[in-house]
Amino acid sequence: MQIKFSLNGRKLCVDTDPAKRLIDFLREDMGLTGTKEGCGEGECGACTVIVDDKAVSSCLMLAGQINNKSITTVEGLGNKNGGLSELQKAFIKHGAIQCGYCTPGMLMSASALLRENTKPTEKEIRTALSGNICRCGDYSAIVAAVLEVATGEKEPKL
Amino acid sequence: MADLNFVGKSFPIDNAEDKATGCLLYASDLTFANMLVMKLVLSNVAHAKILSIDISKALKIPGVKAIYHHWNTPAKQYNTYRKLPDYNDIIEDRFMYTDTARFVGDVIASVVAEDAETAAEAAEKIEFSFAPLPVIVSAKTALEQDSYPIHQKGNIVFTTEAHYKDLKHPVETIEYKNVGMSVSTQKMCHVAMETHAYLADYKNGMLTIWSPTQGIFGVRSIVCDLFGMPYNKVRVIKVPMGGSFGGKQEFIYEPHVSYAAMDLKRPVKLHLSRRDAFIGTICRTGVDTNFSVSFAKDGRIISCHVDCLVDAGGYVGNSLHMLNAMKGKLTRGYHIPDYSFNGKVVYTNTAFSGGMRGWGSPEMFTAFEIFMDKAAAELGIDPVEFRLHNVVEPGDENTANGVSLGNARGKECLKVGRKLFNWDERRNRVRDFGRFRRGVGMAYGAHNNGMFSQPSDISTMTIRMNEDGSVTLQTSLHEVGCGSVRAMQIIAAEVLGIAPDEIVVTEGDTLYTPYDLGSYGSRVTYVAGECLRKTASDFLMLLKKYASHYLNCTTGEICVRDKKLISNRSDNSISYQELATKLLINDGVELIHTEAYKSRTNPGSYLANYVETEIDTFTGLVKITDFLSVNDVGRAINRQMVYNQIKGGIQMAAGYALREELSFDKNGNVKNDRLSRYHTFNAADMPNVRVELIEMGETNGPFGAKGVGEASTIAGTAAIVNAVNNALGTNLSNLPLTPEKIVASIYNQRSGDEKCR
Repeated sequence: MQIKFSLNGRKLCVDTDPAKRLIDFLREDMGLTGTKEGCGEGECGACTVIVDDKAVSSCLMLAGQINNKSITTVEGLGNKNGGLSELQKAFIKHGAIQCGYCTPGMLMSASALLRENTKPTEKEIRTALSGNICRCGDYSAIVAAVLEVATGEKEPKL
Repeated sequence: MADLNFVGKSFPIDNAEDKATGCLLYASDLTFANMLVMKLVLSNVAHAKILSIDISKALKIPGVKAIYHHWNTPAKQYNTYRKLPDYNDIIEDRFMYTDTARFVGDVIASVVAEDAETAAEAAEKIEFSFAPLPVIVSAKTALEQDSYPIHQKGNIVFTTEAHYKDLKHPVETIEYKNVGMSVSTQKMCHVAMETHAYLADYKNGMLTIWSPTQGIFGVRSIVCDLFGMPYNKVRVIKVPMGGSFGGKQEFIYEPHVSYAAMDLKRPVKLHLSRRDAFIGTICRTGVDTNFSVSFAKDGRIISCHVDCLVDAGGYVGNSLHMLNAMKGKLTRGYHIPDYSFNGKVVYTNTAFSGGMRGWGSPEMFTAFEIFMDKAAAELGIDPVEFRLHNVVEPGDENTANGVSLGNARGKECLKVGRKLFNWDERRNRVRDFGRFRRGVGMAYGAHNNGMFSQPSDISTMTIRMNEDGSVTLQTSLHEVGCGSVRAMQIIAAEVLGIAPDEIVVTEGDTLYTPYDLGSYGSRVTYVAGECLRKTASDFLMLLKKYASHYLNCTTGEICVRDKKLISNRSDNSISYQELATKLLINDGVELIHTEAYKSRTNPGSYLANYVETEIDTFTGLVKITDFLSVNDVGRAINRQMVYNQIKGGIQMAAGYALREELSFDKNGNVKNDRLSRYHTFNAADMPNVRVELIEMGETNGPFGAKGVGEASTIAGTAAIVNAVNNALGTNLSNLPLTPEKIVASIYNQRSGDEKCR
């Protein structure tokens, strides 16, 4: 089936099996391995991508469902000049990245939150990220990074 | 050490940018041209003899290249933990593919196919016939004399009995009270976010294995000895890993992909599903511990007897070695003048288990610290004061092995924590009796720094200076995601006066990088870090020696600034770049230096945790409302990462205390083999943990540093359990404290009260 969609700002039309999981389509057909698989049942959030401004688990969505939709993956998160986005910079600065395997999904969930709510509270951030497991586990560093982007405070107090 | 330029400052993890942009390739992201995919077939029955296997239907599926099982692969047994060729007391009890399923998750076959879908389809078509055998899911049942033997030699794998007396400080007090308690801790999953992945390829007589392992040289030993190959014909490359926490310490499936790659002459990849990782790789071991401790009137320990039963699951793995390590854990933290330890490891028909973050320390200290709260109550002494009477001091020796505990600052941790947490006031507040009840608890812990007095604590490193003056550090580091590479960059930078980002540090590759035992036993910062500090210091002396010829001065008259060697006498200087190029081109001398370092010390890292919890007595749910962790780290190398590690360790400790348990029904079926049924702590659950560091140095650690990653997780579990017990007035000691158990204990308390009336 031909699917038309926008991927990280590029308009594409691709012939693929519509029953393929979105995560497999992105990783295998599009070569975007930044999206990670952690559980295959929508519980860990590692495979989170943004579909039309909403964070979704790409292991629970099929390729056919992205027809006429706009997809953002971690590879498309940078700023327009190809540099890091403020959110990516804040993650690096606050030590929100350890093994890094949850990072793409975490960034996508945080990014979707900030699209919807530019000034989230700490509680709203924690709720928005509660579907993303970080086993290295310093959630406060991640929350601080998102809060910095939301509030502009360099060392947000949690 | 106020004049340090880099040590103790904060740096993001070395490859943070690659991780933030999604371009870092983890093992599970790697693919090769012409690559085949392996799918494991794991047993769905907990104990059964395989009578026959029919692979004919599966083999007919187009794209299936091979199906491996017990009867068409080498019938040699191995142990997935044998990281040294001559490791002592290794029990080799498993085949690559078993002829008898010993737990749900035991490997009974694998399919190799052109793609994952085909492999999965074929795996479904393999037909087995089983003869069921009796299933044992409890370690206590396995101990019974007439229990059905899971392995030929019976179910008791190993028994140890040890008795240590501190002859330098003999007991002069009479017993006031003897306190006993049983504590049960559960099997728990590591849940690294990236499940295990392995790749192998065989070309021109060389087998190459890409593995996100904690020990490349261990992989090499296992694979070479299993297949009779010389060590120089197997190349093991450590690739980026999405977490380990000990889950990737053993060498479980490297033999499987290797055998397939050599047999089929094509690259083979295996990437485990979450379920396969849950049931088919190691988990934290389950332990039943009994204490009988006699105390003097002032609360000092006179003698302590520990009985410990370890559930290895279907295969022994590292359980035997872990039990041996567990013997010396409590005496690292406490001064126990008369200490005896009886331990047993048994087989059961449950997931095979072993070390997880802390390797025996969380198991021993969780149990003991829950016990210590009960003992403190019986003796009528404040829990913090009680511990202060008994913990070790700087310069003390571990009674169990006579090794110095170094600059042991557990007392500082306890005292600083007591003050910062406002312990005395919070502990003595009036107890709540409404629906929500708050309680405070604390616990203490200690952990090792490396493997000594085991003989294998070795790192080797090579530093080379390139023609442009840049520095490459060749190591067999195994970055597990906690910043080892960054820590090494910082240490080398501090010695050589180069910015950390400018130093390239390799990870392990058995063909090109020097020997290192691996990422085990909290040895990386303390042992590998000290190896680097020494290697870099000697390398700097080498630079000074050569520079002294050009500068016409002695080495003692040379200082280093801005990548230049400067003579104090003349102010003449030569840059790293000039020196490296001149030496190489004019004199044929390459600036390269290799050093091996064997650690002969093993001081302790110490910590005290203080917690407040709030329990909803209607639902049994526990909320952690405040958490303070005070940690004796010697000295922080990368400050931010030390904080990250401690907070992450507490997240795992919280799971261990309240939620996480790999549990089995009576038939050995895993009740929660997926993340929708196995719950870790998330961003909404975790409190903002407060961290305080005690930095009083350690003689043999690089710049005074000690390990922190494993240590950080040791005290949190008991501290949370003690806070719950404080709130409810209970002595709960059967972990995890799930809502069901908490509600049941409240119900029992109430019905007990009714009966009293």
